[in-house]
Amino acid sequence: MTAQATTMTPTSAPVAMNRLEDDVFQPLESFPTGRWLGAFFVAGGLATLFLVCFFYTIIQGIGVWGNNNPVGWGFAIVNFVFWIGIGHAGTLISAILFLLRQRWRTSIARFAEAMTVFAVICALVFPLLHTGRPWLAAYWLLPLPNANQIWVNFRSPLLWDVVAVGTYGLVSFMFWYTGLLPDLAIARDRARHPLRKALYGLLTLGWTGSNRAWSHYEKAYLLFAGLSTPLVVSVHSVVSFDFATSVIPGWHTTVFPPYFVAGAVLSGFAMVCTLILFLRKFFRLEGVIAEGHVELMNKVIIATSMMVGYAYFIELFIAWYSGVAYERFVFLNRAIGPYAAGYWTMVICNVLVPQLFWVKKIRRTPMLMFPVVILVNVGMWFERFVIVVTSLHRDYLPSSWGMYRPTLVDVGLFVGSFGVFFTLLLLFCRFLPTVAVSETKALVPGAQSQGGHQHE
Amino acid sequence: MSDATYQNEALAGAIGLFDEPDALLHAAGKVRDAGYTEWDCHTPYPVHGLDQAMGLRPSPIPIICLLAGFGGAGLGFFFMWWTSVVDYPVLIGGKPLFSWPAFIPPTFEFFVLFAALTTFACVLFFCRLFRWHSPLHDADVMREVTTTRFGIVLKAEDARFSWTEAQRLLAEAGCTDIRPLPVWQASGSAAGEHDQEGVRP
Amino acid sequence: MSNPDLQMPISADPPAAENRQSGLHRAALVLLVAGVVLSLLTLFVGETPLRRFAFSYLWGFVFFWAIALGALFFVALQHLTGAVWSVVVRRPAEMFAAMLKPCLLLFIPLALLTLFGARSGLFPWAVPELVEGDALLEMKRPYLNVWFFVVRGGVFFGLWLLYARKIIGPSLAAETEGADPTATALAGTRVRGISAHFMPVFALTMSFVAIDWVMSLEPHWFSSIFPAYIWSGMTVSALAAITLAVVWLRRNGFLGAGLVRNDHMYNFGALLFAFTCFWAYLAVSQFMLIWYANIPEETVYFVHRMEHGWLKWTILLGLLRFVLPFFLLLPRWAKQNDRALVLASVLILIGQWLDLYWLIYPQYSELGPVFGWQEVAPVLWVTGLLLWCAARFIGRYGMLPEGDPRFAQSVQFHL
Repeated sequence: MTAQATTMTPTSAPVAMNRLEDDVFQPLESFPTGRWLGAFFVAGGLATLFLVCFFYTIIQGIGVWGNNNPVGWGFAIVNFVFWIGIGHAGTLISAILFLLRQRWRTSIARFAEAMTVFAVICALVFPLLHTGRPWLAAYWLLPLPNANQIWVNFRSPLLWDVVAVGTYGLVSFMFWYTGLLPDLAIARDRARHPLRKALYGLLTLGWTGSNRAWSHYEKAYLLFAGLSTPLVVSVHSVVSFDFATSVIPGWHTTVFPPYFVAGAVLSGFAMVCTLILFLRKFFRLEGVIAEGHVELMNKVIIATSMMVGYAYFIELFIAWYSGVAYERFVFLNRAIGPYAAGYWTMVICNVLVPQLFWVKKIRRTPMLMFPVVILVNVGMWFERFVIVVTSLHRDYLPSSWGMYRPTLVDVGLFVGSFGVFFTLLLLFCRFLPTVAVSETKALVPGAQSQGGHQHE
Repeated sequence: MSDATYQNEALAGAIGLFDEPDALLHAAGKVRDAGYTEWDCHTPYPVHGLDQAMGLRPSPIPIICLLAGFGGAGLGFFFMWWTSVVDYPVLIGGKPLFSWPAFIPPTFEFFVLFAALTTFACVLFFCRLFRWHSPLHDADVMREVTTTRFGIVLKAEDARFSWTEAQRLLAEAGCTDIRPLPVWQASGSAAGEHDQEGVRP
Repeated sequence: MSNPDLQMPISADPPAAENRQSGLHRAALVLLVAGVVLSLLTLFVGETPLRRFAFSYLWGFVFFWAIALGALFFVALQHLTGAVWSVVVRRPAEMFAAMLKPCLLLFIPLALLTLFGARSGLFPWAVPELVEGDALLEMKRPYLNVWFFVVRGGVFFGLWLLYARKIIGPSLAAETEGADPTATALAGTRVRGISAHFMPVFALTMSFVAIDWVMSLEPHWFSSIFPAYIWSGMTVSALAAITLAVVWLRRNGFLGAGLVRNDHMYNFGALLFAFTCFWAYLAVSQFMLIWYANIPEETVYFVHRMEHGWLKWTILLGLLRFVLPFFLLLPRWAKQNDRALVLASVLILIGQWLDLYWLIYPQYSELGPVFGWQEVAPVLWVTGLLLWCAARFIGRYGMLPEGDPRFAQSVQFHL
């Protein structure tokens, strides 16, 4: 950074900062474009579909889903794991890359954090609905004193999930909001309409850019990053424990925790990349989110794709090596059984297709990388489908074998959850700064003291 | 301290504006050396080295966060033990009542939960947030110090403060753009309500 | 050779440094000879001398291998990520990676001990009487058989040495021959590409030898996280060795004056801390999942390590390998303090010895831990060999890769 700072003339810094600010705040301060409105109506429509299916499920009961015996965990759990995984990239970008001092993250961190919060919301809906009576969920899920004097079972991985995902949602929100505070102050000071000024002023909690505040703020931000990093690993590990603590072949394997974490990062980065490609085009943020940033994300995708491929392989090898008939059967059944199409979609999309990113041109050209990241999104959804459904549909006894077919309500909820996600995301893009402006300003050449580190 | 005494000409302080981070660091050092205690710098982003230039002590948040984390983890672990062993023991899946390996994941989550909530509370407390009444807010200078410029505010609370003295000090520190900061007035209400010590310019 | 941009003295005090190097050389030789003598003595004393020798040898061999291969992984990772900070401390890492060559020689006795498995009794699957009639072992025979074991071990060593040559070779060649900057820069991009495809090769080969050399000691038992567990231990022990080397080299003037600063050391502290946590994460995950599912064919592994006096070793392992280094490295100041780093590194290396002991020895004696002078022998000769190789390397190469185009940038690295 020091090297960068000296190559640029310091006078250009305020100009660059003003341009950055204008680029980021322009969508907040102008009337929504036709494209935004169009996208909002599509997303809103899907969100409506979600609400319809949601209330239909509540009124009719979860019998309207495809879940059956033996496949007791269907789309709901698949979607839950899928959305949680998507959220993890946000935390990874905002926390881990922060700790690793990867400065390119500032351009996408805010957006990725917002994505995390919305993805966690989408994820949480599914298990809540799966309980059948979500209005009683607090009573089942939280350790509340109640008339029966019984407590929740802390020995159950499902309850670990409640603690982990609940913590994750809260921490992600606090991290996101803390990051937003200085930028909300900019929004307040830029606002012309008094109502606008008052609302942003209220949200920013009276931020004045005081250095006595910055001093604490930076420490706290570092702490949030430090806490979020093990948290994100623990959350998907706990999600994997939901499966791996059982004695179901295909679920019970010790590599699950790190494998799930790698898969979450893969799916999350693929989703961030997909959204960033749209964001850059829609809001003309090519100047802020450069091709180099997208390329780095694609490098993370190829790295995690190979980790996931490694996990597929080691699972397969250990299933053979274990000599356990059931273990061997599960993997054979995945590859050539009734859900083989899902298995091969997963392998091709998650392991083979991302190998295209070895080619620099594909990593850097939006039109070429777009199909790749879309396919990874598809593949990662199928990974969860394969894990949940293929392991369950063949029980130990052939008399307990069955098949799982999602109903229209299942599909409606899944497709609709994208509507909820995108509605929230579009609202975020309209009303909140999508790029961490103050953090990016601090990295503009000339923004820091030219004396470099003599003050430290 | 009646409302009439202070009105518009009452000052909450003085602000000097700078364009360069180096100039700010230099000036901050001067103000620190002049012995001011009630003063602050306002910047659009954290400026490296400013904490040292201002002579700020390191933030206590990390240690508080760590203690809260360990406290939360201990409390969580104790609670899990108490609910499953003491208060309502239920045998589930043949596992021992005190299944400590099963308590490891939630204990860790409790650590993070308590540490993060405490950190957030610390941000609100130490950054003096939830106060919508800074004298800077209605001034034009607020816009400048959240965009690209840097300000040093000498507050009227400081015993050394007077408008002329502040002007002299800031000018000496190399500032060319010095402005008075009127007492903040929310929709015409009295300034005294907000604990602002006003001084005549 | 020295970079003209750099206005700093490179070598502090050459004669003193030379003395230090020869001192290290002598100390290493003493340890090495003592260790080898003790090890050979193991072959002639006691009840099952060959078996005990085989186990102690495997223990020492895996420790040595983990540091050498872990160091190569570290160097490749630095190239791959294009890390600038590590350029100035890359040579000490390359020093350990270069030890893969002697490690290949060390593999020959292990191969022999396996080939004559019936007599050494090291791997149960290599003992025909144990395999006959055991349905599982018979079924695993296509993989677990002595010839395949030796051949794949050899092939993997070939791959590692090839990659080591490609990854650390250009850097060392530039040192001895002196290279023009453009050629070095070109070699740099090539090394980066090679490091990229080294990663999957490393992951697979490392996984198979983790299964072969350690997991197959209990041939019925299986755990898919096991290779990753070995990898985490390997990485953190290699990091600890590199950290110790850097501290020693810096103190004795091999790393110039003020070129390696606390900012660089902080990264070592942070990496040691991160991988210590990562090891604990994998260890807890493996234990917790097996404990929870409670399937006898899996739990047997931990039963062997918690009964008959083994429990205190298990607890000691958790303390030495995780709890102590964790709290030691937690504060920020400790991550850049030489004394804290040395203490943490030593703890971690002891932890690695203990971890491997805990993985290997219960198979030697389920009925309680054995630890006698026979187990001191591998610690002596492995330490001696590590130091001897290091001393020779230090005598041969400069410890600063000044030819690297990013060297000056690396020296100026700030947190």
